[in-house]
Amino acid sequence: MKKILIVDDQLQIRELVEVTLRGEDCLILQAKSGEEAIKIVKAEKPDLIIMDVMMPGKIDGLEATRILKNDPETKDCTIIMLTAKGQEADREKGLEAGADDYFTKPFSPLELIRKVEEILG
Amino acid sequence: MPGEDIEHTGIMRARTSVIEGKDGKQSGIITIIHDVTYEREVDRMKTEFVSTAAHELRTPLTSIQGFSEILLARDNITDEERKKFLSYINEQAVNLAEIVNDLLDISRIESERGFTLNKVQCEIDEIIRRVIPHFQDMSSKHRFEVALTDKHIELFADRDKMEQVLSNILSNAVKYSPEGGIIRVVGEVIANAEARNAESKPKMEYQVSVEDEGIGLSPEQIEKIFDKFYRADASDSAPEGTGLGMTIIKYIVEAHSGKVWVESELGKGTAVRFMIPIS
Repeated sequence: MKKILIVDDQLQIRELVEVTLRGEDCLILQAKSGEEAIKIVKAEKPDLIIMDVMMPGKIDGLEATRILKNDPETKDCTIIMLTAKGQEADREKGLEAGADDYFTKPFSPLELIRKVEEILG
Repeated sequence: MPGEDIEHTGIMRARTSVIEGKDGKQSGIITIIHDVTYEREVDRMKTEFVSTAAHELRTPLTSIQGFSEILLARDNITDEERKKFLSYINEQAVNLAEIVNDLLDISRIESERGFTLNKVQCEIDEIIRRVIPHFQDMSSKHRFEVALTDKHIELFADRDKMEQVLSNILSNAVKYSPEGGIIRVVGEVIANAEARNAESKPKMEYQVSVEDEGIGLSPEQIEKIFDKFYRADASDSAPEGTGLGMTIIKYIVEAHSGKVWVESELGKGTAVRFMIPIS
Protein backbone atom coordinates (compact mmCIF):
# COMPACT_ATOMS: atom_id res chain seq x y z
CA MET A 1 0.00 0.00 0.00
CA LYS A 2 1.31 3.47 -0.90
CA LYS A 3 1.96 5.93 1.92
CA ILE A 4 1.07 9.60 1.58
CA LEU A 5 2.10 12.24 4.12
CA ILE A 6 0.11 15.47 4.44
CA VAL A 7 2.02 18.39 5.99
CA ASP A 8 -0.01 21.48 6.89
CA ASP A 9 -0.37 23.50 10.08
CA GLN A 10 -4.09 23.97 9.47
CA LEU A 11 -6.25 21.08 10.61
CA GLN A 12 -8.98 21.93 8.08
CA ILE A 13 -6.58 21.58 5.16
CA ARG A 14 -5.20 18.27 6.44
CA GLU A 15 -8.75 16.98 6.79
CA LEU A 16 -9.57 18.21 3.30
CA VAL A 17 -6.61 16.43 1.72
CA GLU A 18 -7.31 13.31 3.75
CA VAL A 19 -10.97 13.11 2.75
CA THR A 20 -9.97 13.91 -0.83
CA LEU A 21 -7.65 10.92 -0.97
CA ARG A 22 -10.02 8.60 0.84
CA GLY A 23 -10.88 5.68 -1.38
CA GLU A 24 -7.47 5.68 -3.01
CA ASP A 25 -5.64 2.56 -1.98
CA CYS A 26 -3.21 4.28 0.35
CA LEU A 27 -2.24 4.96 3.93
CA ILE A 28 -2.47 8.59 4.94
CA LEU A 29 -0.14 10.16 7.51
CA GLN A 30 -0.29 13.70 8.88
CA ALA A 31 2.23 16.23 10.17
CA LYS A 32 1.58 19.72 11.56
CA SER A 33 5.03 21.24 10.97
CA GLY A 34 8.25 20.90 9.02
CA GLU A 35 10.03 19.39 12.03
CA GLU A 36 7.34 16.77 12.50
CA ALA A 37 7.32 16.01 8.77
CA ILE A 38 11.06 15.25 8.71
CA LYS A 39 10.71 12.83 11.65
CA ILE A 40 7.80 11.01 10.05
CA VAL A 41 9.47 10.83 6.63
CA LYS A 42 12.57 9.21 8.16
CA ALA A 43 10.52 6.64 10.05
CA GLU A 44 7.84 5.90 7.47
CA LYS A 45 9.42 6.62 4.06
CA PRO A 46 6.19 7.79 2.40
CA ASP A 47 5.86 7.55 -1.38
CA LEU A 48 4.40 11.01 -1.65
CA ILE A 49 4.47 14.15 0.52
CA ILE A 50 1.93 16.94 0.09
CA MET A 51 3.65 19.90 1.72
CA ASP A 52 2.33 23.32 2.71
CA VAL A 53 4.87 26.14 2.35
CA MET A 54 3.77 28.49 5.12
CA MET A 55 3.99 26.89 8.50
CA PRO A 56 4.93 28.26 11.91
CA GLY A 57 8.10 27.06 13.58
CA LYS A 58 11.73 27.03 12.52
CA ILE A 59 11.31 24.83 9.46
CA ASP A 60 8.75 25.91 6.88
CA GLY A 61 7.72 23.84 3.88
CA LEU A 62 10.53 25.12 1.65
CA GLU A 63 13.19 24.37 4.25
CA ALA A 64 11.73 20.92 5.01
CA THR A 65 11.75 20.13 1.28
CA ARG A 66 15.38 21.22 1.01
CA ILE A 67 16.38 19.06 3.98
CA LEU A 68 14.51 15.99 2.73
CA LYS A 69 15.80 16.32 -0.83
CA ASN A 70 19.40 16.68 0.35
CA ASP A 71 19.30 13.63 2.58
CA PRO A 72 20.22 10.46 0.64
CA GLU A 73 17.91 8.53 2.96
CA THR A 74 14.82 10.55 2.04
CA LYS A 75 15.58 12.18 -1.32
CA ASP A 76 13.51 9.69 -3.33
CA CYS A 77 10.16 10.78 -1.88
CA THR A 78 8.04 12.76 -4.30
CA ILE A 79 7.05 16.16 -2.90
CA ILE A 80 4.10 18.26 -4.06
CA MET A 81 4.08 21.80 -2.68
CA LEU A 82 0.67 23.03 -1.63
CA THR A 83 0.47 26.69 -0.85
CA ALA A 84 -1.60 29.83 -1.00
CA LYS A 85 1.23 31.61 -2.72
CA GLY A 86 0.65 31.48 -6.43
CA GLN A 87 3.21 33.80 -7.88
CA GLU A 88 5.84 32.60 -10.31
CA ALA A 89 8.70 33.51 -7.95
CA ASP A 90 7.28 31.28 -5.22
CA ARG A 91 6.74 28.43 -7.62
CA GLU A 92 10.39 28.69 -8.61
CA LYS A 93 11.50 28.82 -4.97
CA GLY A 94 9.60 25.58 -4.37
CA LEU A 95 11.10 23.83 -7.36
CA GLU A 96 14.56 25.12 -6.46
CA ALA A 97 14.14 23.64 -2.99
CA GLY A 98 13.63 20.33 -4.76
CA ALA A 99 9.85 19.96 -4.94
CA ASP A 100 8.66 17.73 -7.78
CA ASP A 101 5.42 19.58 -8.39
CA TYR A 102 3.35 22.50 -7.23
CA PHE A 103 -0.33 22.94 -6.37
CA THR A 104 -1.88 26.31 -5.63
CA LYS A 105 -4.59 26.96 -3.03
CA PRO A 106 -7.51 27.08 -3.54
CA PHE A 107 -7.45 23.78 -5.37
CA SER A 108 -9.93 21.33 -6.77
CA PRO A 109 -9.83 18.06 -4.78
CA LEU A 110 -10.66 16.09 -7.92
CA GLU A 111 -7.65 17.60 -9.69
CA LEU A 112 -5.47 16.76 -6.73
CA ILE A 113 -6.59 13.11 -6.95
CA ARG A 114 -5.67 13.06 -10.64
CA LYS A 115 -2.25 14.50 -9.85
CA VAL A 116 -1.67 11.97 -7.05
CA GLU A 117 -2.74 9.04 -9.25
CA GLU A 118 -0.46 10.27 -12.00
CA ILE A 119 2.50 10.43 -9.62
CA LEU A 120 1.89 7.17 -7.81
CA GLY A 121 1.03 5.44 -11.07
CA MET B 1 21.79 69.83 -9.43
CA PRO B 2 22.76 73.10 -7.76
CA GLY B 3 20.72 73.90 -4.71
CA GLU B 4 19.37 70.36 -4.53
CA ASP B 5 19.65 68.43 -1.32
CA ILE B 6 22.37 65.92 -2.12
CA GLU B 7 21.04 63.57 0.54
CA HIS B 8 17.83 63.17 -1.41
CA THR B 9 17.69 59.93 -3.34
CA GLY B 10 14.80 59.36 -5.62
CA ILE B 11 13.71 57.72 -8.80
CA MET B 12 13.78 59.93 -11.88
CA ARG B 13 12.19 59.20 -15.18
CA ALA B 14 13.83 60.86 -18.17
CA ARG B 15 12.23 61.27 -21.58
CA THR B 16 14.28 62.51 -24.46
CA SER B 17 12.99 63.85 -27.78
CA VAL B 18 14.94 65.01 -30.76
CA ILE B 19 14.03 68.39 -32.24
CA GLU B 20 14.22 68.55 -35.99
CA GLY B 21 14.68 71.73 -37.90
CA LYS B 22 12.80 72.64 -41.10
CA ASP B 23 15.57 71.08 -43.12
CA GLY B 24 14.98 67.75 -41.41
CA LYS B 25 18.25 67.90 -39.59
CA GLN B 26 18.59 67.45 -35.88
CA SER B 27 18.67 70.84 -34.25
CA GLY B 28 18.43 69.97 -30.59
CA ILE B 29 17.35 67.58 -27.88
CA ILE B 30 14.78 68.07 -25.14
CA THR B 31 15.09 65.92 -22.04
CA ILE B 32 12.34 66.01 -19.43
CA ILE B 33 13.27 64.63 -16.03
CA HIS B 34 10.38 63.72 -13.82
CA ASP B 35 10.65 62.76 -10.14
CA VAL B 36 8.57 59.57 -9.87
CA THR B 37 9.73 58.54 -6.39
CA TYR B 38 6.29 59.05 -4.87
CA GLU B 39 4.43 57.32 -7.71
CA ARG B 40 6.74 54.31 -7.43
CA GLU B 41 6.20 54.11 -3.67
CA VAL B 42 2.43 54.18 -4.15
CA ASP B 43 2.71 51.46 -6.80
CA ARG B 44 4.83 49.34 -4.51
CA MET B 45 2.34 49.64 -1.65
CA LYS B 46 -0.52 48.84 -3.98
CA THR B 47 1.20 45.70 -5.27
CA GLU B 48 2.02 44.60 -1.74
CA PHE B 49 -1.56 45.18 -0.71
CA VAL B 50 -3.02 43.24 -3.61
CA SER B 51 -0.77 40.29 -2.88
CA THR B 52 -1.60 40.38 0.85
CA ALA B 53 -5.31 40.64 0.12
CA ALA B 54 -5.15 37.81 -2.42
CA HIS B 55 -3.37 35.59 0.08
CA GLU B 56 -5.90 36.37 2.80
CA LEU B 57 -8.76 35.52 0.45
CA ARG B 58 -7.17 32.29 -0.74
CA THR B 59 -6.97 30.65 2.66
CA PRO B 60 -10.74 30.63 3.34
CA LEU B 61 -11.44 29.97 -0.33
CA THR B 62 -9.42 26.76 -0.16
CA SER B 63 -11.74 25.34 2.48
CA ILE B 64 -14.88 26.58 0.76
CA GLN B 65 -13.97 25.25 -2.67
CA GLY B 66 -12.45 22.02 -1.39
CA PHE B 67 -15.14 20.90 1.04
CA SER B 68 -18.04 21.93 -1.20
CA GLU B 69 -16.55 19.98 -4.09
CA ILE B 70 -16.11 16.94 -1.83
CA LEU B 71 -19.72 17.21 -0.64
CA LEU B 72 -20.95 17.44 -4.23
CA ALA B 73 -18.77 14.69 -5.67
CA ARG B 74 -18.78 12.05 -2.97
CA ASP B 75 -21.48 9.84 -1.60
CA ASN B 76 -19.36 8.04 0.99
CA ILE B 77 -19.56 10.91 3.49
CA THR B 78 -21.17 10.25 6.86
CA ASP B 79 -23.88 12.56 8.21
CA GLU B 80 -21.54 13.70 10.94
CA GLU B 81 -18.82 14.60 8.43
CA ARG B 82 -21.30 16.36 6.19
CA LYS B 83 -22.28 18.55 9.11
CA LYS B 84 -18.67 19.25 10.02
CA PHE B 85 -17.70 20.15 6.44
CA LEU B 86 -20.70 22.44 6.10
CA SER B 87 -19.72 24.19 9.31
CA TYR B 88 -16.20 24.69 7.90
CA ILE B 89 -17.64 26.18 4.72
CA ASN B 90 -19.87 28.45 6.73
CA GLU B 91 -17.09 29.55 9.10
CA GLN B 92 -14.77 30.37 6.21
CA ALA B 93 -17.48 32.24 4.32
CA VAL B 94 -17.96 34.42 7.44
CA ASN B 95 -14.19 34.94 7.54
CA LEU B 96 -14.17 35.93 3.92
CA ALA B 97 -16.98 38.41 4.49
CA GLU B 98 -14.96 40.01 7.31
CA ILE B 99 -11.90 40.38 5.11
CA VAL B 100 -13.98 41.96 2.33
CA ASN B 101 -15.56 44.34 4.87
CA ASP B 102 -12.13 45.41 6.11
CA LEU B 103 -11.02 46.08 2.56
CA LEU B 104 -14.13 48.12 1.80
CA ASP B 105 -13.80 50.07 5.06
CA ILE B 106 -10.24 50.98 4.30
CA SER B 107 -11.07 52.03 0.78
CA ARG B 108 -13.80 54.31 2.17
CA ILE B 109 -11.36 55.82 4.65
CA GLU B 110 -8.84 56.28 1.85
CA SER B 111 -11.21 58.01 -0.50
CA GLU B 112 -12.10 60.37 2.37
CA ARG B 113 -15.78 59.66 1.94
CA GLY B 114 -15.56 58.08 5.36
CA PHE B 115 -18.13 55.98 7.13
CA THR B 116 -21.66 57.00 7.61
CA LEU B 117 -22.07 56.70 11.33
CA ASN B 118 -25.46 55.66 12.53
CA LYS B 119 -25.24 57.07 16.06
CA VAL B 120 -27.87 56.05 18.59
CA GLN B 121 -28.02 55.85 22.39
CA CYS B 122 -26.61 52.44 23.19
CA GLU B 123 -25.46 50.62 26.27
CA ILE B 124 -21.77 49.98 25.76
CA ASP B 125 -21.53 47.29 28.46
CA GLU B 126 -24.29 45.36 26.74
CA ILE B 127 -22.32 45.50 23.45
CA ILE B 128 -19.18 44.23 25.22
CA ARG B 129 -21.10 41.37 26.82
CA ARG B 130 -22.53 40.39 23.45
CA VAL B 131 -19.20 40.35 21.57
CA ILE B 132 -17.13 38.32 24.07
CA PRO B 133 -18.96 34.93 23.85
CA HIS B 134 -18.12 34.77 20.14
CA PHE B 135 -14.41 34.72 21.05
CA GLN B 136 -14.96 32.37 23.98
CA ASP B 137 -16.46 29.88 21.55
CA MET B 138 -13.53 30.32 19.18
CA SER B 139 -10.78 29.72 21.70
CA SER B 140 -10.70 27.16 24.48
CA LYS B 141 -7.12 28.15 25.37
CA HIS B 142 -7.91 31.61 26.65
CA ARG B 143 -9.73 32.57 29.80
CA PHE B 144 -11.79 35.74 29.58
CA GLU B 145 -12.12 37.99 32.61
CA VAL B 146 -14.67 40.73 32.28
CA ALA B 147 -14.97 43.66 34.68
CA LEU B 148 -17.60 46.26 33.80
CA THR B 149 -19.35 49.04 35.70
CA ASP B 150 -22.34 47.93 37.78
CA LYS B 151 -24.50 50.58 36.18
CA HIS B 152 -25.36 50.54 32.47
CA ILE B 153 -23.52 53.26 30.63
CA GLU B 154 -25.13 54.85 27.60
CA LEU B 155 -23.03 56.18 24.77
CA PHE B 156 -24.13 58.06 21.70
CA ALA B 157 -22.44 55.80 19.21
CA ASP B 158 -22.79 53.58 16.18
CA ARG B 159 -23.60 50.17 17.63
CA ASP B 160 -22.25 48.07 14.72
CA LYS B 161 -19.05 50.07 14.54
CA MET B 162 -18.49 49.71 18.29
CA GLU B 163 -18.93 45.97 17.88
CA GLN B 164 -16.43 46.03 15.04
CA VAL B 165 -13.86 47.86 17.20
CA LEU B 166 -14.25 45.36 20.05
CA SER B 167 -14.15 42.36 17.73
CA ASN B 168 -10.99 43.58 16.04
CA ILE B 169 -9.22 44.18 19.35
CA LEU B 170 -10.34 40.85 20.84
CA SER B 171 -9.39 38.97 17.71
CA ASN B 172 -5.86 40.42 17.94
CA ALA B 173 -5.66 39.51 21.63
CA VAL B 174 -6.57 35.89 20.79
CA LYS B 175 -4.27 35.71 17.76
CA TYR B 176 -1.22 37.25 19.40
CA SER B 177 -1.37 35.29 22.64
CA PRO B 178 -0.89 31.90 21.02
CA GLU B 179 -0.14 30.10 24.28
CA GLY B 180 -3.48 31.14 25.72
CA GLY B 181 -3.70 32.85 29.09
CA ILE B 182 -6.06 35.43 30.47
CA ILE B 183 -7.69 38.10 28.35
CA ARG B 184 -9.00 40.86 30.60
CA VAL B 185 -11.72 43.17 29.37
CA VAL B 186 -12.30 46.19 31.58
CA GLY B 187 -14.95 48.85 31.05
CA GLU B 188 -14.84 51.87 33.35
CA VAL B 189 -15.92 55.48 33.62
CA ILE B 190 -13.03 57.89 33.89
CA ALA B 191 -13.01 61.63 34.54
CA ASN B 192 -10.73 63.33 32.06
CA ALA B 193 -8.99 66.08 34.03
CA GLU B 194 -7.60 67.68 30.87
CA ALA B 195 -10.91 68.11 29.11
CA ARG B 196 -13.57 70.15 30.85
CA ASN B 197 -17.16 70.79 29.92
CA ALA B 198 -19.02 74.10 29.89
CA GLU B 199 -19.39 74.11 33.70
CA SER B 200 -15.61 73.46 33.86
CA LYS B 201 -16.20 70.04 35.34
CA PRO B 202 -14.01 67.22 34.03
CA LYS B 203 -15.51 65.44 31.04
CA MET B 204 -16.61 61.88 31.68
CA GLU B 205 -15.31 59.20 29.38
CA TYR B 206 -15.95 55.51 28.99
CA GLN B 207 -12.72 53.57 28.70
CA VAL B 208 -12.44 50.01 27.45
CA SER B 209 -9.21 48.04 27.97
CA VAL B 210 -8.39 44.68 26.48
CA GLU B 211 -5.29 43.14 28.08
CA ASP B 212 -3.64 39.92 26.97
CA GLU B 213 -0.67 37.87 28.12
CA GLY B 214 0.67 37.41 24.61
CA ILE B 215 3.90 38.03 22.75
CA GLY B 216 3.71 41.80 23.18
CA LEU B 217 5.10 44.60 21.02
CA SER B 218 8.36 46.55 20.94
CA PRO B 219 8.25 50.39 21.12
CA GLU B 220 9.05 50.49 17.37
CA GLN B 221 6.14 48.17 16.65
CA ILE B 222 3.77 50.23 18.81
CA GLU B 223 4.74 53.35 16.89
CA LYS B 224 3.61 51.77 13.62
CA ILE B 225 0.67 49.76 14.91
CA PHE B 226 -2.00 52.08 13.47
CA ASP B 227 -0.32 52.37 10.07
CA LYS B 228 -2.22 50.90 7.18
CA PHE B 229 -1.13 47.37 6.23
CA TYR B 230 1.37 47.32 9.08
CA ARG B 231 1.73 43.89 10.61
CA ALA B 232 3.98 43.49 13.63
CA ASP B 233 4.93 40.07 12.31
CA ALA B 234 4.65 39.79 8.54
CA SER B 235 6.54 36.50 8.30
CA ASP B 236 5.00 33.54 6.58
CA SER B 237 4.24 31.87 9.86
CA ALA B 238 2.55 34.93 11.39
CA PRO B 239 -1.13 34.85 12.31
CA GLU B 240 -3.39 35.76 9.44
CA GLY B 241 -4.41 39.35 8.96
CA THR B 242 -4.51 42.13 6.44
CA GLY B 243 -2.84 44.71 8.67
CA LEU B 244 -5.93 46.88 8.43
CA GLY B 245 -7.71 46.12 11.72
CA MET B 246 -5.99 48.73 13.91
CA THR B 247 -6.20 51.43 11.21
CA ILE B 248 -9.95 50.89 11.01
CA ILE B 249 -10.31 50.90 14.81
CA LYS B 250 -8.49 54.23 15.07
CA TYR B 251 -10.66 55.75 12.39
CA ILE B 252 -13.91 54.60 14.03
CA VAL B 253 -12.88 55.68 17.53
CA GLU B 254 -11.77 59.11 16.31
CA ALA B 255 -15.00 59.52 14.39
CA HIS B 256 -16.66 59.20 17.82
CA SER B 257 -14.36 61.94 19.20
CA GLY B 258 -12.50 59.26 21.12
CA LYS B 259 -8.94 58.08 21.45
CA VAL B 260 -7.23 54.70 21.12
CA TRP B 261 -3.76 53.70 22.28
CA VAL B 262 -1.59 50.70 22.96
CA GLU B 263 0.59 49.80 25.93
CA SER B 264 2.79 46.77 25.62
CA GLU B 265 5.98 45.01 26.58
CA LEU B 266 7.65 42.24 24.56
CA GLY B 267 6.96 38.86 26.07
CA LYS B 268 4.63 40.26 28.73
CA GLY B 269 1.49 41.14 26.85
CA THR B 270 -0.40 43.97 25.25
CA ALA B 271 -3.14 46.30 26.40
CA VAL B 272 -5.28 48.09 23.83
CA ARG B 273 -7.39 50.88 25.34
CA PHE B 274 -9.92 53.19 23.82
CA MET B 275 -12.16 55.84 25.27
CA ILE B 276 -15.32 57.46 24.03
CA PRO B 277 -16.72 60.64 25.66
CA ILE B 278 -20.00 60.13 27.50
CA SER B 279 -22.47 62.58 26.05
